[in-house]
Amino acid sequence: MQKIFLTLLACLWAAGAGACPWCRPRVRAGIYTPAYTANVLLVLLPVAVLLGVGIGLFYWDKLRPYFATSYAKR
Amino acid sequence: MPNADILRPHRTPLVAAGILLGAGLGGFVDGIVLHQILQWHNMLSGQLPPDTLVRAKVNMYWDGLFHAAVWVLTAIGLAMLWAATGRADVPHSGRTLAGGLLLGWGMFNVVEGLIDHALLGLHHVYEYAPNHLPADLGFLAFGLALLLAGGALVRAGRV
Repeated sequence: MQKIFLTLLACLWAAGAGACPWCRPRVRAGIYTPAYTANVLLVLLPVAVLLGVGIGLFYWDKLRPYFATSYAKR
Repeated sequence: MPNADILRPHRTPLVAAGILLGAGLGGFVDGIVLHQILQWHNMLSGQLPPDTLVRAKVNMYWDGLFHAAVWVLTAIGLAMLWAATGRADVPHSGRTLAGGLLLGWGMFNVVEGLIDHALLGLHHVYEYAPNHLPADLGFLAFGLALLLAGGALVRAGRV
């Protein structure tokens, strides 16, 4: 049992050593550029559009009277 | 006639839940099949080609952000489905839900295809071809086919 535990512990340690320590700073520099916020917004834009459509449709029965009265006042 | 409106079945909450679930699951299909298994593109591969380990890992970060966002979309769809099934005025229709799921997947392909592929050029469906247009159009056409099939199923689910 103790041997299994020590082997598993050694594997855990080896997985850490098998990562890419030299490229990590370069990866971080590649992610957190001055365009970071713009990239976040661009990546999330299609999902935000779909979320807006879904939530709007879910509450459509409650929103419809509001839109109907808004158009009627014009 | 307020009483008549209360008694009238409302299918839109079920369709909306299906759309968000379908869009989320469609996003996972895109991410798992096209990004990871086939490796045709990554989220920012149009701007940052994954031709080195560092660039591939940067793209992996943006893929992860995209996956997190479609996970949120799926979770909200699930919450909406739970809320819709608890309402007496929402019919329990498998066809309506299945139609909503296909509508959501189709909407994902069309919205993502138009915004990311056509307008912004963040990536294209198949980056390794000299001409990106055929695969991008195929992705959009598949999305339109899903929209048509979903719309037909939602209509078939009318009570």
